Amino acid sequence: MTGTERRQQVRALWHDRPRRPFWRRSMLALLALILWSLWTGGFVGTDVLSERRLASVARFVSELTPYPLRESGVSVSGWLAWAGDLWAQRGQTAALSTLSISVVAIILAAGLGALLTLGATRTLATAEPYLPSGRRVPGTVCRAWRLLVFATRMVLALLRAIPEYVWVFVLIGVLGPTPWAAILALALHNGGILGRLNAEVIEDLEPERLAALRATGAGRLQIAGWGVAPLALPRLLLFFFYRWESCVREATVLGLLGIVSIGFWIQDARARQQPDTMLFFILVGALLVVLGDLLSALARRWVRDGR
Amino acid sequence: MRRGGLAFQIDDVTVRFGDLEALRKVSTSIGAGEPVAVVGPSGAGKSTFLRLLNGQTRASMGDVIVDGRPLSDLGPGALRELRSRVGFVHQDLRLIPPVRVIKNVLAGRLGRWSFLRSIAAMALPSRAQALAIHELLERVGIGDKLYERTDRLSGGEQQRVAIARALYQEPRALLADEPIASVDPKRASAVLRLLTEVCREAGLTLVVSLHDIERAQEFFPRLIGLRYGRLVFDRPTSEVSSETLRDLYSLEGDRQGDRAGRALS
Amino acid sequence: MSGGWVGTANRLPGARAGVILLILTAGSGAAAYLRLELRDLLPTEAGLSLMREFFAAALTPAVRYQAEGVPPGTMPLLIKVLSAAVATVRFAVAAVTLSMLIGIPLGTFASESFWRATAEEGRANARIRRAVSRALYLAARVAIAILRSVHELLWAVLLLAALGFTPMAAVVAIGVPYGAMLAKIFSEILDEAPQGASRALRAGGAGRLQIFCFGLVPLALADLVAYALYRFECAVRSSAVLGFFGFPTLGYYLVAAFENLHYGEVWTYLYALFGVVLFFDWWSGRLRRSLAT
Repeated sequence: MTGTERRQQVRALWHDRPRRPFWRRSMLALLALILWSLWTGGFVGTDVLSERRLASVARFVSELTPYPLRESGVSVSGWLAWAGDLWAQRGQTAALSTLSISVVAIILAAGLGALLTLGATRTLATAEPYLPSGRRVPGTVCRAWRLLVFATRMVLALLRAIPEYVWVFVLIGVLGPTPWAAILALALHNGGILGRLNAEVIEDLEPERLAALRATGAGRLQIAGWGVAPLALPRLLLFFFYRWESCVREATVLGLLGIVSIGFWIQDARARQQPDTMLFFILVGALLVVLGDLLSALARRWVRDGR
Repeated sequence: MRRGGLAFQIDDVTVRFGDLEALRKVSTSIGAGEPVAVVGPSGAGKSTFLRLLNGQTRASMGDVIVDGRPLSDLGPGALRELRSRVGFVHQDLRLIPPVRVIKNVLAGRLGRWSFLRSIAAMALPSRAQALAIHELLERVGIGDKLYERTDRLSGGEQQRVAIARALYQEPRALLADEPIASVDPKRASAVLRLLTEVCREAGLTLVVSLHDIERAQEFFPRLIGLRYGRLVFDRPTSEVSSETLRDLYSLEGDRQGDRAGRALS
Repeated sequence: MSGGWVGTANRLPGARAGVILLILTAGSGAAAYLRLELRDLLPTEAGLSLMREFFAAALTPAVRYQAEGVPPGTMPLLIKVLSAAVATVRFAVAAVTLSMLIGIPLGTFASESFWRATAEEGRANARIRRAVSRALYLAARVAIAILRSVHELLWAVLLLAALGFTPMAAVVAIGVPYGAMLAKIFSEILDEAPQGASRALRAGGAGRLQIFCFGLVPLALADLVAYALYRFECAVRSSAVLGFFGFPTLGYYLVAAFENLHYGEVWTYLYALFGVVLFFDWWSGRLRRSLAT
């Protein structure tokens, strides 16, 4: 083969190379999006380094030292005494409330999710789940089921698109600042997420065993309860604990809007301009999150490996 | 081709992994440009033997001398330099699956490129590189796959990519670990013919480990027999009798004895 | 009901039944601690009418200002909603960009396969090198755990208190915890990638950075991008919520509309957020599917 021939051939191969246009366009769009937002957003201003800002940072840092210790000098025992007081007075209750809110919320979310799953799962919400009888199903019936699935999925998407924080804001208007507002907010958002995840798990189940159940004459709800639930349970429990982790995380901040969780005292300290107390409660919140991650990891291992 | 083949000298080498002895007191030498097959049952230490030759595995005792230089003396830089001149075709190929074939072949030359140069080449291969790689791929029979995604190729085609990558290194020796283990019988001979021909033309040293004794006899003038980590024979193919081979592969009979012999004394 | 099916339910491994029991016990304990009563779920008379009004507005989101006497020259509501949505996306994109700048190096250092692929061979200084790499690895893991455990809104509270009000505070507040989360996921992706390619490059004499960039990263790239796009969706939500702190995102206008009792406008903002989230959801899903084939 001469050089020219090879050059032509390579060019032809390049021209016909397999491409991934969607990937390529996505990457270009992403790059454009990033450049545009950095260009127009004014995030990277030099004003951050202005003297006024630096002075405010310095003041903030100096105020992180607990107030009672600023005169007497910082000591470990002094700090511990201060932190111990705060913990005993407010921290303990707030931490337990935060955890309690997350637990009740995730249980309600699982219930809500399970309910919506029934409508969102294409293999269940259909005229003849798992075992077509061969009878002709009227077109309107098929369409009605499809509409149900679509509508349920839209509701799920709406529930999870609205952040917990917004739900709480709205619910406090309705219910007042009770724990229920936080619980319902977490349950609505996470119910939306769990509903979608559940539906995906169930649609991936092998249909044969469920068809056998259907053959015994079981109805749709019976299939869901006796066939689908046991088969899908391990996965569902894994998701449950993943989402609980996130519930703990969010529960710490929902208090910023006035419900008794850690966030309440963070907001309180913020309003009183007490950075020392604020930092203390932020650290308590962080410890709660770590605790939640740890417990969830243990529980997931228990579900997976039985120990 | 360039500078001829590499000569290897294996000097009383023992390799241990924990308390398992993969090779025990093996001594032999392989001349520049010589094609050799390493044969023996599975678990005999063939892979370890090959990996020893470019320093992927270190000798626990004894030494390997490549072109007059003991491997144990080489620092990281010199070791990289040596490896960039030794092509290695792994049994499990070890390609980069989600990239185009041309990049997998280009990766063969990373050892001799600076980091910046390699970034440039991997991002935008030059026309000269594309042409050279096309020629290489044509040599191994898959010229038209130049821009294909590697994980879309069949197993046989991927193996050719691995061979092309090793050749693109412009190596002075080619080591191939069980290159026909997962290739169908018809293609097996073609692969061995390709390897031996390329190496003969370019004067490369070729060391291939093979389970398949008939093909080893067919393609290689010299055989090294390993069994349970020990060198059993090392002679021209014509002098390897069928009895020797039967002994090499003879079954469970003396395995117990061998096991005992392998245990660390 | 056939026996087999009842059997499956009964054969639930003890652990799973135990987990469910534990969950329910914890739930009732938590409810008791909070002194939850179903009675409190019933809104007050005022709350009830508010709720009725609010959810009725879900079906009739506003397309025009609900207030009387909007001063002339005010931009139309829909334009305002659109610009709020655009600002929300802008904050989110900047935050995710920052999170990638933080998360990719941090995740690299926190992955075992990075250190395995780049371990120097040869005997010089081996012990010191090992100690240094071990220390960096552990430092990265600890940094991830700490940065991740503080919620983005709490980062915002801290940064606003320290820096005062600046758009950068919002970007950093989202970017830092997201970066740590990205680092965690990226290190897992790297550790799950097959090691063959990097070993082959090493056997061919490639250097440490080369092994990492060409032997590991290409294997992780697709998963990483898909995950980053999913994080866009989360970042859009977080950035909308940061509006509650005064940043000009959807949350800011939503609060104002809610407090003025313009529920129709509230729903317009909610639907706008819904639309943006749905778009990123579609995008990341489509991308993942296009990579799978």
